[in-house]
Amino acid sequence: MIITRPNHDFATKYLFHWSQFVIDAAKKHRIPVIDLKGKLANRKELTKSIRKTSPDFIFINGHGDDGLVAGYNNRILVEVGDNERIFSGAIVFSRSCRSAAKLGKSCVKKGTRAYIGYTDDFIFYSDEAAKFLEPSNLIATSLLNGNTANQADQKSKDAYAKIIKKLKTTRVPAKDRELIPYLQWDMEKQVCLGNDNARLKNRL
Amino acid sequence: MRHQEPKISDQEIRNLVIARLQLFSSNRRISIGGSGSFTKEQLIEKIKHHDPVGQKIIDVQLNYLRSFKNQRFLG
Repeated sequence: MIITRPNHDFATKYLFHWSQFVIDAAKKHRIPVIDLKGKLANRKELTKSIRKTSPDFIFINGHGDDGLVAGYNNRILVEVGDNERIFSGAIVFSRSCRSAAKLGKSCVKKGTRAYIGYTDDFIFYSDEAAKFLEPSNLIATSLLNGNTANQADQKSKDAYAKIIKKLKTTRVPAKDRELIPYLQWDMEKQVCLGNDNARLKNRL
Repeated sequence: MRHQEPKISDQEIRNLVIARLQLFSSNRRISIGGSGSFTKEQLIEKIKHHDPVGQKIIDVQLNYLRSFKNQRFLG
């Protein structure tokens, strides 16, 4: 598994921290991890690592846009019409804004087995980050546990739905209920593109 | 006679979302992708000034309110 996790601003610092749980899960499964953290989350290191190891799973954390995902200091890692072929043969989970809208589709056309990501902005409350980032971590940990891309996506959505349902009960303080529209947004903007049945080869 | 949906103006939507946000707690930060992180008060200002971040919050809140109508999420 290759993971990119820059930490240059407010949002990426949260993603950086919460990604550690996925790295720990991979290590528990004895899955080798190349951790491109901080400044190492750049195009040169990512390309080099992919060429060297042909990873089964690539987990991108950072900012993004419809046609790209970025690394440290928002420098572009992968962009539509440029280098999306580097994901070919892998399952990709991109925890970055909007990249599933165009980049994900293009990656799948060019050989990415499955691309899980978001078609719009990923939004979270920093003081309740766990409610947003645990369900998204579940995509990666479910894949590591041997689930298919579609199952991983669904387990994550089920986790969001469970939290939302809990927050809708009347005993919950208003300050917690205000999270619901944002949780629902992240859940609904999450998509799984490509082969629903793709799973990590060493987890068959 | 065909039933016509009452029309609601852009400003009325803006006011509705601002009214919702005013009920929310202060001193919390919401991270919105690459746009940054914002307090409730900053978001209200962004909605008033027709800023893209303000529009995103309107989209999120309307998406939620519409989900009741569409029974998309009954929890």
